[in-house]
Amino acid sequence: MKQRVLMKGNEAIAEAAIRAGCRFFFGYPITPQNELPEYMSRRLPEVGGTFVQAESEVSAINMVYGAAGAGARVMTSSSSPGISLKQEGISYMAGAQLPAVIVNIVRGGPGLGSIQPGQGDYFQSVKGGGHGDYRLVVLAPANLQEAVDLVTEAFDIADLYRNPVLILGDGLLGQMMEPVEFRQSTPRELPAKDWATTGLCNHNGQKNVINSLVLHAIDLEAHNIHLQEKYALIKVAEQKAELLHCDDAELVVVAYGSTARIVKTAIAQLRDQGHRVGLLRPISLWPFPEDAFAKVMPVAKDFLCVEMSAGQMVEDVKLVVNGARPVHFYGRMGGIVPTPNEIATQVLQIMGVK
Amino acid sequence: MVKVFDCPKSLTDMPTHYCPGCTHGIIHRLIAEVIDELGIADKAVGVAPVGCAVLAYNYFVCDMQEAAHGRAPAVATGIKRVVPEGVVFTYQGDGDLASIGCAEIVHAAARGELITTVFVNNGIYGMTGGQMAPTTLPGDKTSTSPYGRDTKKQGFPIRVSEMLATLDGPAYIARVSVHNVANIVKAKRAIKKAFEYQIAGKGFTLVEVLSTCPTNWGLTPKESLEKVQRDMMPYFPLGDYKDIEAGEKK
Amino acid sequence: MNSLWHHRVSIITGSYGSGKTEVAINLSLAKRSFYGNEAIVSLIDVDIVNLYFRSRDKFEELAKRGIHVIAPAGDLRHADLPALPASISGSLHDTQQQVVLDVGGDPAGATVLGRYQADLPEGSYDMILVVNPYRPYTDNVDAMQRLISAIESKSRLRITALCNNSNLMGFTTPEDLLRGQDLLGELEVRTGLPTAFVSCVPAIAPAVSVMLPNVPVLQLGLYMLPPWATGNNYAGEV
Repeated sequence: MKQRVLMKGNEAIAEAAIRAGCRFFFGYPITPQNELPEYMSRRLPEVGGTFVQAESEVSAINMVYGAAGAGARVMTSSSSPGISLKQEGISYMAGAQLPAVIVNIVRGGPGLGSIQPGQGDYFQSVKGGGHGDYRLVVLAPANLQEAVDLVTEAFDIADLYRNPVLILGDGLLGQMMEPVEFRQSTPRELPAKDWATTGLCNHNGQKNVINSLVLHAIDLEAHNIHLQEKYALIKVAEQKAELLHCDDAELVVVAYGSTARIVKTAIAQLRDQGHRVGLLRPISLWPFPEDAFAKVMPVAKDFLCVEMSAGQMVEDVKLVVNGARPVHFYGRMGGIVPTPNEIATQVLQIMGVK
Repeated sequence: MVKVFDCPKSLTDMPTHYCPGCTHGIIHRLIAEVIDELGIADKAVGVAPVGCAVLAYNYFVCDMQEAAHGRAPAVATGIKRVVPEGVVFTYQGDGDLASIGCAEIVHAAARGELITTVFVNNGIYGMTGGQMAPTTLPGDKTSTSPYGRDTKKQGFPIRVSEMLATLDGPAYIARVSVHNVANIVKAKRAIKKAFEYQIAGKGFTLVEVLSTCPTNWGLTPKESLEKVQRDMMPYFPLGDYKDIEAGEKK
Repeated sequence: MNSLWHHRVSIITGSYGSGKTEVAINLSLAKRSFYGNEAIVSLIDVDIVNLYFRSRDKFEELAKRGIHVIAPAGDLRHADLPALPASISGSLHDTQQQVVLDVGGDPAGATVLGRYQADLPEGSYDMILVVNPYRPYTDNVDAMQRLISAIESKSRLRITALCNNSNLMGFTTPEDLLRGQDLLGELEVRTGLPTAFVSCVPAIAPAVSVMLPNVPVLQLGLYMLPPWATGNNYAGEV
């Protein structure tokens, strides 16, 4: 048989995590990500790992906190409403600098919303979500091979910076099937987890404490400054974006995840008709790929941001473009996935083509 | 000369922040003595709560994690699953365990999670300023039950030990008190048994300790100890509620 | 009857993601074209484990092609509730109807069939196990055999035949089906179950027919395509 396996998005993410050394998974059922914990519950015992179905998303993320604090590679997954419940724990993990990978297979919102795909959790993912000044590294794959590769890398990024990493997918990505290949990522040199609470006998009798409480304002500010310095490093080192046909693009469409794939179909059609349209696809949503924008600015006359939301990432696009070019927006909500034709029509309108 | 009394090795030499007359200090000491006697300091991992014991991670000479409010049993679950050879305990108050963390403690117990919980019940929120707790006695005045806890409007106290003893996951559930020397001795015996059961892999263990809060009760330390015996013990009777080696009691 | 089915009722089962829905839709269409416009062909969507890419999503399109899709009504089509319609039993008993049951994947998805056990006496149906060896947990004959007994135990029905749906979506070559048939051949020997048909897209069907001359081919028009796909030969790449 070939090395490629046909997998569903949720399964592929789970398998990638296991191959990245994740041996602990704590989760709670919610549609449309159930295949992920289901796959984990079947696969982890085969590799000597542990799966626990928690009593709630709140408990699940706190189990992740405990396991990460004990030095394990650990993951949890959920979908929008469940991710909201996890925000408390995520903030504590960011504060206590615990590495873990969290997967959000986004559905329509707000509230109970729907089980159809959405991108309405962008703000929650990149602007905080929980309380306090913190950042998650947010990676948004657009196909299953990329999902597999990014999950592998996410564990390294988490361990390298001692910070939670969020994989932001959507229902479409979680539910669709594609052939994938599990391959090694470029190995990074990772620091030893000498801070983990595994018992004094495991680290030369020196006491380790996992904690986010800092009572004295001066000390808490120092802790925050340390976090901000770390985020600054990440901002320089971990930006990821894909540029397609941007060399001569007068109009650059900005889209991430599943939406970017639909945009690609639209761009192929528009290019066939001779229109100079390109795609800037942020892969890291935080850090936002500002460097990629700098590359397309000299030629681009307009930007069009397309999202399955009322317009969230478009705010970051505007911040980066900073008034230098018009930034347009097109979005669908409620689980409606835009079609390539809809997007092409928007592009032609902006370009003034009848 | 023979030294007959000393600080347990598993307690740091940092002075605790607990108010004079509060029994948290006694309970800390009992845990530390048990850790010493069982020789498990080098593989113990404790989880501190949010509540008056929030700084407990400073006082034990073992690895510690500070949990979000009520989540200590979930955090302990994560630790124990990663370090199964470790001895994992949570230290939680009544607001933390019986109110905001009710789901976490019930399910950790139901899973038979191999951890030990020391549950300190003083019937009040000490940390945040004396508000009503899930274990505040009917009629008791607090800063959020200024007319006294009215059971028609504010419901009834939760008897955690009795409730958890109905589950199959726990191996040992006991309620003890530290209001006098005889009971302190019994409390230590219970805590030690809980840790021993955990080490033997028998199941989830919890020791509920009736405790005082002179500061927020507005009582002298002596009056506080009397209140434990007079008011709390009739509502929260002492004893073993579950012991899989002895069969169920009460 | 023809070589793709022996009974009025065809039950399409298999592991999760093996391609059951595409097979079920295309088998319904084959029945429709075989029996002509007068025949009632019902495609019953009892997939209660999947959420997206279900037969019910093609309700209108299939109705135009003469297929009666039975699935939860109205808003319930978009819910993650089982909400099985009452008319399912009626279709199973109506001897005038040709029926295809699109079952959810894995033993979990097959469990729902147990509820219809009384409506499906042995010998009254074909129950076809769709196999794609490029999927995890069905990549070897032992695993396939375990799947058969698990599905039979949960559904309380007997699997009667196999479908070779070896594929890597748009990357599929005729050789992939040939390799898949090697495994199915061993499964045939072990279980006594015949391979009812192979299924593949029209582009490679002629080559597959040459390589596997003794097995009928069910050509698959693809219905469960993602929104960015434009043709039948969706390659699964960005």
